[in-house]
Amino acid sequence: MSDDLAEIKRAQLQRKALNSNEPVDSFYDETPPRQLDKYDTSIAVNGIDFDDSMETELGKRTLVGQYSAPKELVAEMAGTGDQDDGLVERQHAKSVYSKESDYQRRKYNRALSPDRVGADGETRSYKQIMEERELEREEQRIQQLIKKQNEESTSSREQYIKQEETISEEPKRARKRRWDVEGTDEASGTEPVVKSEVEPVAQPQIIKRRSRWDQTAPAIISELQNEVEVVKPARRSRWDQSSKATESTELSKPVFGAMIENPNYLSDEMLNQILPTEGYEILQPPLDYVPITQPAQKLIQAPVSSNDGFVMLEETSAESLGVKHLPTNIPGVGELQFFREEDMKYFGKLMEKTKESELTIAELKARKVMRLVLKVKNGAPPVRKGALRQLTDNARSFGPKAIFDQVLPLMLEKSLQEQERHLLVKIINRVLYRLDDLVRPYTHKILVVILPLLIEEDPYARIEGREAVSNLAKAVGLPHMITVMRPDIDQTDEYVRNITARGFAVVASALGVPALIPFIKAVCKSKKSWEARHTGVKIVQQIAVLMGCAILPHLKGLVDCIAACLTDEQLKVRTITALSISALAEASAPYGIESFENVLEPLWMGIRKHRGKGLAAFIKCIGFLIPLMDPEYANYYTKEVMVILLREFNSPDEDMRKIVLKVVQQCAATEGVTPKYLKEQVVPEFFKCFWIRRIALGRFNSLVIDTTLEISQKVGVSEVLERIVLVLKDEAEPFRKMGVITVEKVISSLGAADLSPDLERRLVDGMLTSFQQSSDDNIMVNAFGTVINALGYRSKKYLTEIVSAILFSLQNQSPLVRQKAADLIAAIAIVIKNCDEDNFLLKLGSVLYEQLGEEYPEVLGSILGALKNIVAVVGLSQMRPPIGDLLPRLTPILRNRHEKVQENAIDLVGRIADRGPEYVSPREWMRICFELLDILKAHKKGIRRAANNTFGYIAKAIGPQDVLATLLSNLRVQERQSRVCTAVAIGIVAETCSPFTVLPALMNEYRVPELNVQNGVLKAMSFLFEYIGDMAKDYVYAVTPLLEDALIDRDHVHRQTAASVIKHIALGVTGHGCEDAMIHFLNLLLPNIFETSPHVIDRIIEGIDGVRNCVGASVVLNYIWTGLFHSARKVRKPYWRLYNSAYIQSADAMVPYYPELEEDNYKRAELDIWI
Amino acid sequence: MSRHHPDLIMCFKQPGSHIGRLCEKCDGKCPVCDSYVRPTTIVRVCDDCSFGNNAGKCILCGGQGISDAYYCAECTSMEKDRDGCPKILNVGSSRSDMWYEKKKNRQQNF
Repeated sequence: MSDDLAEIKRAQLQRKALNSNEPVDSFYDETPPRQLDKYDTSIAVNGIDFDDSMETELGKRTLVGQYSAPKELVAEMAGTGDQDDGLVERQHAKSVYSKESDYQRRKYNRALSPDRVGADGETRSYKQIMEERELEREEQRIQQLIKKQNEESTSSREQYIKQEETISEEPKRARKRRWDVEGTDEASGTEPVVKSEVEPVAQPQIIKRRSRWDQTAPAIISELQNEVEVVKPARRSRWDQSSKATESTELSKPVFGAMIENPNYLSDEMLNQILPTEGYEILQPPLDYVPITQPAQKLIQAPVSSNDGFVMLEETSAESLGVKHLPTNIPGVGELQFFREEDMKYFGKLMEKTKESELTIAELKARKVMRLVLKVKNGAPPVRKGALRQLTDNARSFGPKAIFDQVLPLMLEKSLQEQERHLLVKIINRVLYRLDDLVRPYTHKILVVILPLLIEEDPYARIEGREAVSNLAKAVGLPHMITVMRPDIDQTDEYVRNITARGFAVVASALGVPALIPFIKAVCKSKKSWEARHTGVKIVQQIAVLMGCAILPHLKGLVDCIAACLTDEQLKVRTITALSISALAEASAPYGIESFENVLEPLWMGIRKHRGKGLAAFIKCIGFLIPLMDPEYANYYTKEVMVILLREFNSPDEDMRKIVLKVVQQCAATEGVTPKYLKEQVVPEFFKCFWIRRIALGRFNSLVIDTTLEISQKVGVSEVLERIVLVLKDEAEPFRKMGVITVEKVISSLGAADLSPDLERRLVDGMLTSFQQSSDDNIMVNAFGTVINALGYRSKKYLTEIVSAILFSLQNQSPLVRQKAADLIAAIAIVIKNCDEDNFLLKLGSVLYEQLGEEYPEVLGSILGALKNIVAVVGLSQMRPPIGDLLPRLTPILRNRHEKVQENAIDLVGRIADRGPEYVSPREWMRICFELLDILKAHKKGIRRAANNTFGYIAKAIGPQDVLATLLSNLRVQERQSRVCTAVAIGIVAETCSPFTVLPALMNEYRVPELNVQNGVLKAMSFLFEYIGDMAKDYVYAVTPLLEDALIDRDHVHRQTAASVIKHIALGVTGHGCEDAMIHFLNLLLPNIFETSPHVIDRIIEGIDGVRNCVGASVVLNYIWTGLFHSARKVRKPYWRLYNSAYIQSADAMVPYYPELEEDNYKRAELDIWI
Repeated sequence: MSRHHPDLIMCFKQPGSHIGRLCEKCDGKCPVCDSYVRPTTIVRVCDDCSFGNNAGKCILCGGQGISDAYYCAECTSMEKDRDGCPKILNVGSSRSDMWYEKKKNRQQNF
């Protein structure tokens, strides 16, 4: 208690000193750093973050003067706005930064490698970099030593204090340290102890290595101090460099001078002017009053103009505008989707009104790139697409500097959102292709921003990262990649080593493992540092994870690289080696045991020597090797390792238990292990330790389920289910669920033939109970369905009970229960039929029919699904209610927009149209046709396909005329998707009702002078001819004039679609004697080969390929020869494309048709004979 | 698949004896031209695309495979079935764009 009092007193004194008239600067100059970093500077004054206050300060100084609400009100609002402004909070919550773990955030600590490329673009030598690494390691070592000493001295000091019981500096310091721990912990998130307990002299160095941006206030203060007066580091600090390197872009970098001035301060004279002199008394401020040296700030705060009431307006600069009125329209960029405050930092230059003529060429380029990047990042999709294309096309003329200087700092921005990051990575990726080896000087910078993607949670981000790294590796080459990444391999920071290892693995998969093996071997044998060996082994692990079975050819080499590390002196290296070997074994399973022979013995010894995490790794390794072994070896190893596994069943360490489960799974799967052994030794212990309620709540219950499944494969269904049946009636729902999932998996893989009548009864009983009690529908329904289906005819005696339970639930109030019941009907309808209980089915059918008025779409969907299955098993003729009644009820339901309802309804209608259209009147079918047109707009492809097929069935039932008329009129609609689907439907109708019923009407429709309709007709013909295949031979001459017309149309879509019609016709009529028509088409197609739009040219080439298939390579080649050696490349290119595709498919057929060479020198008569 | 998405990369290694699979969504598609019409030649994939993680996965989208893949009649007659393993190796930009767009919308609605 006395400690506290003394501390408070001292703090008050301190504040008093502050409050005196000294200029605030002295606060920094006079307070010795030793004390300062011990005071509770970590608590921000007034809850205002120091960092932010400085930023606003900066903004305020340059802002236009404004009149606004009284200062205290604004301050109050700003104060609360801080915490409560939901919008800002949400904005931040969306950024990538907010979702990252502390470990991932370490990427912000890495500067954009000024250590590799200086601001001036000069590359520093490899030697220098390595020396710096050496220095860093030495630093770390010394700090560890100091820390150790410090700990010792602190503990002795504390003892001393206890004895003395006097108030002195020391106890305060001891307490303060604890405060400090929290403070720094917040900032760095890692190893708080190390950072706080280091002797102050060493501190500046540690902090210095971290980035300035993610530190809280105290860190900066102390840092400032240290920089200003205490430590002048001998070597060039990276801190200085990074600021220099990024100066141009980081506009809002805090200016420390600004913080010291306090423009909001009102002097006594001013107060006298403002307030009346009478009736007021000047009071002494209370002792504990601290003036707010940082002004209340934040976004909402209006800039308070300075003391005199009037100021000259400062010139409007980009910065000042940017802070308050964020523009959505940037000059030269146009409308953007959004523009954030942080963007101002990077794109502020675009707001400056400098004349273009005053800028240098490099600056102009930078501006141009900036505009394009901004368009890509913040623009709407069409804008983005264009900008991205421009960036890619002009990448080489912009040069790497202009592009990367803009993009790379943005990637490390904390407010960046995932989509923006994705777009930036896309830019990098595309640009890499174009720049190729020009990117070399930027390799490390790019890696710094890209490698962190490899440890993202989001799989898409990882894939993107991988793509970018492998593109980079292909662009700059292996030697350069190695030189650039080598210094990071023995970094002291584990994070850097981790991502470097992953990066190397990607490089290996991109450039081939064999090329990298010598390097990995050297790294793994490094004598200098264990970190290097650790990283080397990790590279191997990541290669195995990344490449899967593709490592098999290099397995021996990889294992040899890391084998020696299994007996390394460092535990960490041994552990990672075991993990790497297990990754290799997993990837190469079930082959390659011979490559692992060298490591078996050290592994085996390792298992006996290790405890804890090391042991877990070794066990895991053995577990993955066992499936590779021959049966007798596997049996031996299993028995040996099982002793340890059984011991570790009860381990408190969750990771260990996970690994144990996995290994048990692997052992049980091997051939050599006998069921008897498992039954006697493993099963009882396994169920005792893992089938308990606590596990069901834990994270690894799926692993337990898988292991149980694997064991049941060996010991049989009954043995396992006997124990699990009890679980089905447990009162804890998660545990029940776990049991149900296991039952489903076991039964679906092994069947129910093994069950005894008694067990069967208990199983059905248990399942029914848990079905009725549980809330999770899908799992329960699936499992129950699986069990009943597996029992088949044996389930007849339980059906009465089940059906009555279902009927009861169908009337339930809760929609979930009703849905579950309907789903279950769908699942077991076939079994009910097989048990000859048709009455049950009809009963269920009529109950479901009555429920078609259901208002919850999910439930309605399930009911339709159940009806569909009942109709399927009962047959249309026996169905109650009769189909004639059922279908009219379905017509309005087709209008429902819910996907599940649409899908099930269309399936049911389609089935009826297919099997029994005669039950319903044609008028009703036409009505359904109109509803179906709407369904063609559905998002889900499956629904659209089902609708299209249904058109076919209906057309077959009532004749194509009416249906076709409906469809043709639908070609006039605006929506593209709807038109395409209609075209497909016309194709299907033509196929089902033979083409001659459809083609005349279709060709007639082509006369409508409307773009959409004509294209629709062509599209329909394309599908039609694809569907009818060789039937096309009868229609070729009929459609030729139409296609002729389309091929000479001005609209390129006409020509494109006509080309694809020709392709389908040509492939259909190959060998049916329509070559003359095809040659005619070829004449019309060939002029189109100079089209540039990618879709058009692709279809044209396809059309020509199709014709080549029909008329033979010889004819087409005659068209090609002339262009192959044309003097203009633009002309040659498409001709070569045609030639190449002909060469790929029919090189042999081309031989006789090569032009004869007239020159004597090249003439070979004997070759002509051979041909 | 690469017909409608030109940025997709096919494996094109020498096919082995393993049969390519398709998921529920891609069921029935020809891996070359996306056609559903007349599946003719069964698809064989290379060894790298048929072991480990890739075993039994859809060759077009990586989902859980449920049926065998076939080349359509037209691609067979154009001999596109002999080009090599048709497994798609990368995630196309349209798919990843869509993923991030959806993710953004999800966050906005949330």
